[in-house]
Order: sequence, then C-alpha cells, then structure tokens
Amino acid sequence: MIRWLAVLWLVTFFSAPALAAMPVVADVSNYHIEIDSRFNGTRIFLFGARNGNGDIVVIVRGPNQNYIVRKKESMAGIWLNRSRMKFYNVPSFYAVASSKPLEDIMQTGLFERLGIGQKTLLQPPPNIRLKNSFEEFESAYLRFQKGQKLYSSAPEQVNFMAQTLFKTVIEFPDNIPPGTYTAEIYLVSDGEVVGMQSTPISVVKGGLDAVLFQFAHQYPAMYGITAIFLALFAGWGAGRLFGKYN
Amino acid sequence: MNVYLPIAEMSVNIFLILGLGGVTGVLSGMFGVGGGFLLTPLLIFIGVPPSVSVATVANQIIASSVSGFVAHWRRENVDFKMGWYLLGGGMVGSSLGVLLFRWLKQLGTIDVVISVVYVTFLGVIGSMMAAEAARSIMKMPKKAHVAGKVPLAQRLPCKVEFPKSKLHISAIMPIAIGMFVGLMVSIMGIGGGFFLIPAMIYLLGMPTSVVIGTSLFQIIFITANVTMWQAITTQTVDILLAALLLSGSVIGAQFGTRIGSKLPADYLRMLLAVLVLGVAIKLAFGLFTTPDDVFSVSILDD
Repeated sequence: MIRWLAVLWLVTFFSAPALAAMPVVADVSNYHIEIDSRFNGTRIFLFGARNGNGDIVVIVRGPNQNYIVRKKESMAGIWLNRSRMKFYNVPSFYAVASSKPLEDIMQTGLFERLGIGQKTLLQPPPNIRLKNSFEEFESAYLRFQKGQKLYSSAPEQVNFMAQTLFKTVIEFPDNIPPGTYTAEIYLVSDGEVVGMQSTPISVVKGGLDAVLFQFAHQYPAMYGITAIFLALFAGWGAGRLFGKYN
Repeated sequence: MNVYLPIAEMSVNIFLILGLGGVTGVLSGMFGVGGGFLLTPLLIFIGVPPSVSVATVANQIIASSVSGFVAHWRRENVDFKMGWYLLGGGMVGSSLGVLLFRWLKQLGTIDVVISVVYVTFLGVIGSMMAAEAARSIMKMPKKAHVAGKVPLAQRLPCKVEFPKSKLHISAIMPIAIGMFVGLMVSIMGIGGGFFLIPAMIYLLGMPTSVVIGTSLFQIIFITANVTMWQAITTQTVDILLAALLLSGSVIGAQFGTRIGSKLPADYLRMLLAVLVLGVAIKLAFGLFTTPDDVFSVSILDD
C-alpha cells in the first residue's frame, strides 16, 4: 500500500518539468523518528528518480560520536584490557545501500574523498607505534557496529522501477542514538558523481522516555531523589501489603 | 511485548525483565538476600550496559530491602545503634566506591575488576556456606561459635555498648566493615547482605536474630546513597528498568517466602551456596578462558 502510494506520488511529483534538469531527486517516507517506550526499531523507505544513466548510492549517517576500542590480552591467566585506540568524530550509525557493489561503481580514491564506505570512516592515529595495529582495531570496530546493527551495507539493494525511479529501505534498529541523521543520495556515472542530494532525518526521544531522559540529565539530583523515593514507597507498600500474610 | 528503556537506550522484552525481577524476588523471599549478585550479571548478559545495570540494581534493592526491613522491624529484630555505626562507615565506603568505579571505568578495567571481585567473594562465601550447610545436614558438631566472644572486636580501642546485640566492642570494627561493604556495593551493584551478614556474625559476634534486620536497615541507606551518587555523576539509573524489576521482585518474593517456609533451613542454605558458587564459576570461566572477541568497543564520553 505504502509502496503504491509512493509510486503514485513519485510519478506526479517528478512529472513536473522544472525538475527535469536535476540529475537526482529523492525523498524519504519519514523525516522524523520518535523513540518512545514502544519503540522497537523502524524502517524508512527512500524513493527517488534519476535523470540519465548511472548507479545510485545511498548513505545514511547518524550523529558523530567518539569511540574507544580496547584489546584484551592474557596476563597471568586473566584476560585484561591491555591496549586501546581512540577514534574521534565517527558516525554512530552508517547504512550504505547501492544499486551495485561499491567497487563496481567507482574507484577507491573517490570513495575516500566522499567518505563513502565503512573503510573511510576511521582515521589512523598519528602515533607510529599504533599505526601498525590500526587495521585490526578498525575491523574490530566495524564488526562491533555491525553486530549492533548500527552499521550495514546493502549492495544491490537499491532497486530500479522502470528506468528512472529507484527505491530502497533503510533499517533503524532499536538502539539508534538520538540526533540528526542525514541521508545522502549519489548518482554515479562512469566513475564520477554526477548528482547528489541530502535529506536530514531527525531521531528524537519522545513521550515518557524524553521526559525521563531530560529529567535524568538536567536535574540529576531531583532524579536521584525521585528514584530513591519511588523504591522506598514501592518497598514499603509491598511490605505492608504482603506483610500480613507472611 | 517490548519497552524502550530511556537511560539504557535499548528496547527490552517486558516479560523478560519482569521474569528476572521475579527470580531475584523468589531468591530474596527464600533466602533473605537481595539477589543483586544474580541480577546485575543477568542484566549485563541481556545487553544492558554494565554501568546502567549496577546503578539500577542498587535502586531496586532499596525497595526489596525496605519491604524486608518493615517485617523485621515489626518483630523488633533491628539493632539500630549498630546499624548507625555500620552506616557511618558504609556511607564513606560507598561514596568512595562510586569514585573508584568511575576511575576504573576510565581505565577500561572495570569489567575485569567487577568479575575478579565477584569471583573472589562469591567463591569464598559460597564455599563457606556450602561447608557449613553440609556439616549441619550431616549432623556433624558445629564449630564452637559463641555470640559476643570475638577477640579482635574486643581488643581494639574505642569500645561502645550495643545493648540490643548485648555487645561491648570497639566501634572501629562496625565502621570498618560498613566501609568495606559500602565500597563493594558501589562497585558490584549489589546490596551487600552477602558480606554483611557473615561479617556481623563472625567478626562482630552479633546474635543471629538481629543480623538480617540490621543489615537490611543499613543496606537501605547504602543503596540509596549509591543511587544518588550514580544519578548525579554518571546518570545511569534507569527508573523504568528499576520499576519493572521491582514489580517482578515484589510478586516473586511472595512465592519465595512460601517455598522458603516449606524447605528445611539447612537445605535452603545449601541451595543458596550452590547458586552462589554457580555464579562464581560462570564468571571465573569468563576471566580465564579465551574471550570470543578480544576487542571491545565503547563510547568515549569526553
């Protein structure tokens, strides 16, 4: 149903002659994701049209965060964190979808310049000694994010309908951090980016969760006292209620 | 049915959390312990961040301790004077513990420290309990243990009278014990009844009748202190998670009390000892066996 509506919308929207000059136009089914207490992950449909031939690459990035990757080593039989590497300003969410595997669309040099593909996200540390172990820390980081379902890559998951229309689905798991996300849509032809469009998607906490989260962060002392009194009251109530029977 | 936890920032199954709360409730009803030693590792196991687990379990233990305390208070099984001394030390210890927790978290060794502390103490206390329960099940003569006759507590200076426990011992002992337990509470996310009860019996020489009520009395304040500190310094107390755990444990405790009253005390203690040792062994495996992934990733706050 949603799909048909979207197709209908696309057909009417893109038939406007003024847009004919734009190489790629796209839109998402939802600009706003609200995390409330029923939130269990969601998906966003992305639709668009290309003007001319070429492949489509869609990238959705989450707000940047800093990460630390630690490596355990065995010390006297106990496994301890021994070495670590910090990565700054890395997207907390990163989904790539494309109409063909990225390697078939363009060369790695272009990927790196545009920050397309998971391998372009982390910067090796300036420290020479750490540089040698960069790759294993990088792959550990990517493995972690993939395990959390926060990083995903879906080659060949952008499908064309007719010649110009394309669509794809971006999955957002339940653990996405709130913040501003951006969906970038690239049209790549003969190894060159011929068109690009980006759309923000906001992920915010809503309902009771937003209230509790803000309460915890803005009035931590009041929050602590509330938590304590809630527990005191619940425990006292339970003790009174059931106490008679024991 | 899933519910999204605002502080843990993840979605969990409501019935799983209620069930975990229920299981710990059954334990606390059966054995008179808070069950934090089981709850914190279980929460970590289902993916709740360790810092959120520790802080939230402290919050939920307030509730289970209060409901137990009410019952003991009614029977006048609480030595308030001793409780205040333990509490004095406990407040200092638990506050230091929160700072220590934060420091270890920055160093990246908090997981290992938590595991080592758990394995050591659960292992020692579990074995002691198992040995004693076995002795008494097999009707072997008990080791001579006379209330009020503890050499160290009597040799130290600053002696104070504790009429309810019929003791005249050094005030340094309860304060030191309280401090140590407080430290453990904030690092391990447990109530501390595990350390406190044996320490009160064997190190202070308190009569068994007032031990549980008095330990619950001081645990209420210690866990409240930890909850407050964690709320202020780390913002890791998840009220929603605590509320769910609480609801489960209140119901579980009722079943636990009924089961507990039907089983002979020695078997009950043996059962608890086996459980404690089981958790210790499981955690020890985690420390000594090669991990599935030697790498771990976490978000850097600064």
